[in-house]
Formats: sequence, C-alpha cells, structure tokens
Amino acid sequence: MAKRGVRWLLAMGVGFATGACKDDDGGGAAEAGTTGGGDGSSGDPSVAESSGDSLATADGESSTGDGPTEVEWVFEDVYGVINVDDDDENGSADWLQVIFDGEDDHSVIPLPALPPGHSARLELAGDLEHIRIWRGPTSISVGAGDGEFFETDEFTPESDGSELWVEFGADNVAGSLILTHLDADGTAVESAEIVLRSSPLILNHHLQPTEHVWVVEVNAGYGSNADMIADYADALGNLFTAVPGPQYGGDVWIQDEFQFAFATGSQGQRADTVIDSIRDRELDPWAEQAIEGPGTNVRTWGVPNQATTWDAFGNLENSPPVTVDGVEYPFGRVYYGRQGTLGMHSQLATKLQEQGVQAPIEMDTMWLCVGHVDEFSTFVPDPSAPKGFRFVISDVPAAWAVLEDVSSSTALTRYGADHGYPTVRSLLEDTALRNLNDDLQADELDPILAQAIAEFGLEEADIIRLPSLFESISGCGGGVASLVPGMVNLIVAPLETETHLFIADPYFRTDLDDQSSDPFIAAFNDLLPDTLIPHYVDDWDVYHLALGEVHCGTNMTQTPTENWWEVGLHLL
Amino acid sequence: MTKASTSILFLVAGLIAVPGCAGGVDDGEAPRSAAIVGAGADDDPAAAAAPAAVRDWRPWVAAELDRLRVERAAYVDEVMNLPVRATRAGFPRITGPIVRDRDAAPILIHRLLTAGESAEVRAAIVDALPRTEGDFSAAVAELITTETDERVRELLSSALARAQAPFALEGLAVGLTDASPRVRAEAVRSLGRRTDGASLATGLVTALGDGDVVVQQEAARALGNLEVRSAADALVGALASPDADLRRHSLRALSRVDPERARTLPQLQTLRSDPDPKVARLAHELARP
Repeated sequence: MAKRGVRWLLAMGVGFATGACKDDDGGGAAEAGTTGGGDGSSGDPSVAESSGDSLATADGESSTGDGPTEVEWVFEDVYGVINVDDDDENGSADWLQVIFDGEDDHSVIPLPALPPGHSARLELAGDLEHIRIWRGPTSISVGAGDGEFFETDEFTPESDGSELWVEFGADNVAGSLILTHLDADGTAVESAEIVLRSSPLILNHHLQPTEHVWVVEVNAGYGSNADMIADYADALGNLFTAVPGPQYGGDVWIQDEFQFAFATGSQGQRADTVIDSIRDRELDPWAEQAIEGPGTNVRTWGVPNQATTWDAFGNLENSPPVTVDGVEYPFGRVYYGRQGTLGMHSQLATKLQEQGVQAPIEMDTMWLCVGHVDEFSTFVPDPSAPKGFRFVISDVPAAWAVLEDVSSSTALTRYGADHGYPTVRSLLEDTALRNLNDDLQADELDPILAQAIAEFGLEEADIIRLPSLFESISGCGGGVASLVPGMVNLIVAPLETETHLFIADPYFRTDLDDQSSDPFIAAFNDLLPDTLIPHYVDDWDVYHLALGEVHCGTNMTQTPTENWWEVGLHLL
Repeated sequence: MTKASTSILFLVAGLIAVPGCAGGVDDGEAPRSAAIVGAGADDDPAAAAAPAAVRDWRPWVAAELDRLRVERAAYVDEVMNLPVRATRAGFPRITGPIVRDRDAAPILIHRLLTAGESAEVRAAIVDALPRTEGDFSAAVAELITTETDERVRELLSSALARAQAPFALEGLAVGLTDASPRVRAEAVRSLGRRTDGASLATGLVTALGDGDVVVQQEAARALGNLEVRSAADALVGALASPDADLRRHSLRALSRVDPERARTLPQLQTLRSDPDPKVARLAHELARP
C-alpha cells in the first residue's frame, strides 16, 4: 500500500493537490493507508450494515448537536466497463487521463448529503491496479494511481450530495468498496459494501442483431467480388460498407484480421473492442483507421512474429447461448483451433479463458490447410429449434448422397479447370478423393461433432449436417480445404424482422446462372429453417480459389442482448 | 484431370523407367481403373477436348509464345504480369479467369523460365499450371530434375498429380527420391491421387520406410488408395510405429489393400486399446463383425 501519490496526475499537468482533498475531510480522516481498520464495520455493533442493493438504512446521531438526521446509505453494485478507448480523441487512452467532459465509460455512485461535520470513508479491496474511484474530475480517492495504489480515503461530501466515479482499467476485474458514513467524531454510523466489477470481454454470437457488415471490395486479375458486394448491399442497405481493397493491398480476409467484442455496464455503458490479430497482413491498419474511436478500442494479444495461421480469426468463433451439464452459458462458448502447443497464440487463448463467461473450447483443426474452425462449422438461428439455433457441421456422407442423386454425366462447368473434376462422374470415380473424404469424416469430423455435442450441450435435433467435400491442397503438407465451396463458411445477419444468410454459391451445376438447378443449394435449402433468407453469392475466384469463403471475407458488429451482471455472474 | 483407358496405362507401365524403382506395377495386378492421360471418358466433354501432351516442350512453348504474341498480345502481357495473391493460408497463388485458359500454360512456363521471379512466385506459377488445363506435363516432369528451390519442387510434385502420363510418372519417380522430405511427401501424395500411381508401387513401399514420418504416412495412404496388395506386409510392419498417425494410416490402408487380413489381424486387439483415440476407434471399427 502506498501513501497517496500525485506523481501520475502531475505528470499529466493536472492541478490536483492531495492536500486540498484531505482538507475536505475536515481533518477527521486518518492518513491514507493507515485508516483501514478492517472492513469498517466488523467488531462495531453500533454500526449498521448494508450491502449492495439492500434497503438497509440507519439513523445517524450527529455529534455536532444538530439532531438526528436520516441518511439513506444504500448503494447499487457497480458493473462497469473497461475505459481504454479514447473518447476525447487526443491519442491517449482514457484510463491514462483524468475524467473529462464527454467521458462516458465510468460508473457513478451517488453519495447522499451528510449532516454537517459528517464524512465518508472509502476502503477499496481487490484489483487495485485496475480500479480507481474518483471524487472529482481530477481527484483520485482510492484505487490505481500512477504505479501506486490507494486503499482508503475519507472526505466530506458536498452539502447537496456528491458522486463517486468508478473507472476500470482492465476487462473482468473485481473489487469491493466499503463505504462508511462517519459522524463528526469519526465514529462509524453505517457501512455498505459495494461490488465493483468490470465487464468481461465478450464475443458476439450469431443470434445477436446486426449492426454493421464489411467486405473488402476488389477487382483485380484474379477476379472481382462486385456481385457479392452487390448482394450484401441489396440485402443490408446502409448496414453494409465495402472497404476499398486497393488501400489494403487486396487483403480480402477481413474476418481473419479482426474480432469484434464488447463490454457493457449496468449504467448503460458499452465499450467495444476490436481484437486485432497478430496476423498483421495488409488489412492490419483498417481497424485503427476506420473503426477505432470513442467507444471502441483496438487491442492485441500475442506476439506478431510468432503468428501462425491459427491466429487468424476465422479460427475464433462463438456459439449461441447454451446449457452444458446444467451450467448456463448465456453468451455462448468460444471455440477455436488449438491442440497442445499448436494453434491460437497462447496469450490470446489465455485472455479468452480468463474472461470466464464464454468457457473456451479447443478443437482440432490441424487437418485443414488453413486450420480454422469456420471451415467446418457454424451456428444459424432457428426460432423453431429446441434451443433457438442449429449447429451446422460439414458432412461428407451427405455430399456423396447429393452426388449420387444427380446424373453422373452432369458437367461441372467451374470444376474442370480449377479442381480437375469436369463432371460428377469424375468426382465419384476418384477413389483417392473418396477415401480422403471418408477418412476425414471418420477421423476428424465425427470426433469434432461428438465434442460439439458434449461441450455445447447439443442433441441430434440441434444439428444440421451440411453436404461438404474437401480436397488436398498443393504444397500445404497434406492439409485440406473445401473442394465444393464451403457453404458452412457463411455469414448470419439478423435484422429486425428477418435474418439473412450469405453463403458461398457451390456452382455444382452446368448452367452457372441457374441456382435452381444446383443440387447442393437444394440440399442446403432443405436443411435450413424457413425463417432464414439465404443468398448464395459468388465467392469462387476471390475467395474459394484462395482457400476461403464468404465468412472469411466478411466481418460485422452486433448488438449485445443480455446483461452479464444479470445472467452471467455464476460464471465469474 | 481426366480418366483414360487402361490400354494406355499398360503402355505407360512398359515405357517408364523409374530410377530406383525398377518401374512398372510390381504386384502383378492392374490398378483399379484408368490412367491419367490425354483422352477422357466418353461422357466427359472437357476431358475429351484435351490434346495429348507434347514431349519436346521447349520448342512448343516458343512456338506457342510466337503465335500468342500475334493473336493475343495483350493476353500474353496480362499473364506475364499477373500478380500472385496471398491465400488465406498465407502462401501465394495465381488463380482466376485469366489462368483458366489453355493458352496460359505456355505463357506461364515461359514466365517460369525467363522472368527471374522469386521462388515464391515460381512456386505459385507452377501451382497454377494445372488450372490452365493446358499442356504442362513434359515441362514439369523435366523441371523437377533441375529446379533448385525446395518449395518449387514441392509444387512441381503436386502439379504432376494432374499431368499426363508418361511424363507425370517420370517426374514423380524423381520426386520420390528428392533430398527434401517435403518434396518426397508431395510426390507420394500425387501418386496416391493418380489412378496409374501403382506403377510406382515399389517406390511407394520404399517410402513407407522413409526416414521422414510424414513421407511414411503419405505412403501408407497412397498404397491404400491404390490398393497395392503387395504392400500388405509392409503396412502390417508399420502398425508397430511409434507414430500414431502412421499406425492409423497403415491400418486403414491395409483395410483397403486386404480387407480380410485387416479384419483378422492379430494386432487388432492391441490396436483397439491404442493410446491414440483415432487409431483405437479405427481398430474397433475394423474388428466389428
């Protein structure tokens, strides 16, 4: 514990004087750091206690002779948000500054007016490094200073009441504040203990409403995604923005570079975080240039020069709310590819584990060339489903069934050159391809489905088996990627009255312009809930041939729908 | 890739000289189906249109370039300057409508030989050749013998999966003996994908004892795909490998090469309790009546 220091504030050129604050307490306060005396209430039967949202009140007898004054010494617990964005856009994170006009990420504890001569004592415990409480825009009461931590403070609130401002400097940190009403003699009249906790960093899931969607627009020698862009714009209108590809080196993999996450607070705060991958390809600056600002910060976990393909965020997904073995996960469970020491960087994996509410699941994605969980699985909303959603997983036998149900002489206009399969027959007769896919089903997809059933708490009725075929990728060490464009790699965009799906057009047909003749589209439509509006978009040249699909090339923000302090505290 | 008649396969088996492999099918049985050559199945219009590969490829490339510079000058420039692009996995590729053109093949080969590109770009050029559906077979088969960069040779080995016989087998025979395990593994994979791959069965069995475990794994898979019955004993031997993936691929390959032997294998009981769940699951499946 340190004595109250002002080094940090002085360094910021703020005219904060500790002594002046001390004077406010009428001289009744002991020196900070020496006033603790336990929890401020224990061992003193005369002190009434209240905690959190309790309605306890106490009558204080003023030693100044002003007669009894009733003070309602009741406070709500504080569930706030991290304050590392830059609301004043001065280039410095708000946590490193004093509270300024326009700052909106702190939480407020209103203090009632006290009788003349009375004061308030604050005792903070918990993560002092990442919590601080202000009693004025420039006056730290307790908590984190500049490398120093203050546990206690005493002061006299304004005659018409005061406010304490609670600020958090990290995700998912907790503390407790004991607020004690002291009479003029410094005797405790009543104490209240308040829980202080910052929001965990929470990843969105596919059932949350769409706020905005982005795709990188390109038109280069390898192809154009103009049609896909148009499909998005038609369906989503002003909720969609095309990112100019030439500004970002034609890096179309916007899913991989960023992961949107959020924090919310019980006083209406919302602090968004863009988790910026250590992948660091051409799109790396986009979030700072286009997204970062008041209310949104950009942060990174991991070491860029240690980046692997598993650090791209097609390899970071989240289920809808699930209940597993009686434990409710109202924000779903995060899942990503990692096996032993291979996979997502351990710093980010640890960070996600530490958030508690989304209990991450590690899956085996080592069999894939790219190695991302979005290559074989997703979730789609379905109000008619037992859990309100369906888990979609790639399925090889379902694909063979599709192939065997169409004429083997069907010409596959797009598959001859790019995949070496000009007809359905050429696929069916390729023993190596059949063996490869059957083996993948047995060795990889079946165990993954079993794991998903166990760790997402799924039942058979929750599962959609999506026809899918994979192929070995040249020069990828035996790793595979989608042969038929990966329809599972889709985007779910729930709007107010309808939900759109953007799915790779499989082009498993002769007439490229006739989607109604495509047996893979027909098969998926049969499996999809009627409430969803599928858009089969052309991702062949820009994405599919570069080993990705629609989800890989799209990113989106979504609206939080649940309050973690109401539904998620059991996980923290 | 096209399917062809078995008569051409036997022609290949007779012609090919495979260094270190003695050539040909060594187990006295024909592969299951047709070999990969220029002619296609009757109902396969795309394959039927594919011309036979040219062996004397250098003058052919020069002649094609001369023709294209007259007939499609802008296209030649376009292909020569087409940039690589990063795949989602990170390595570069050349893809798209411009290379889905048989005329792209000689231009890309010309670019490969003359443009002074980096190894990364040359690898991407090689990777793009099959997507042209043009003639690259003899060029790739020869270049794998002279290419100095490991990554480029790896992609050459991969491209040979879609090359025409006999060039493909000539090149892959070289790939099997490459100094780089990555190249050897890719050559094995390519053979396993070719219906005429059993022509190099001896080389594949040798690869099952390779010093690199990935090459061994791929060899097991290829032998299974090609149903090389003479590899059964070697596959049984590989079941004792300390590498779980090799045990799994060998067991599965054995089930394809000789299903009855796999079902009655004495080791199956032990493998059902294998510490690797994938091996144990497969052994359990095979043991089921």
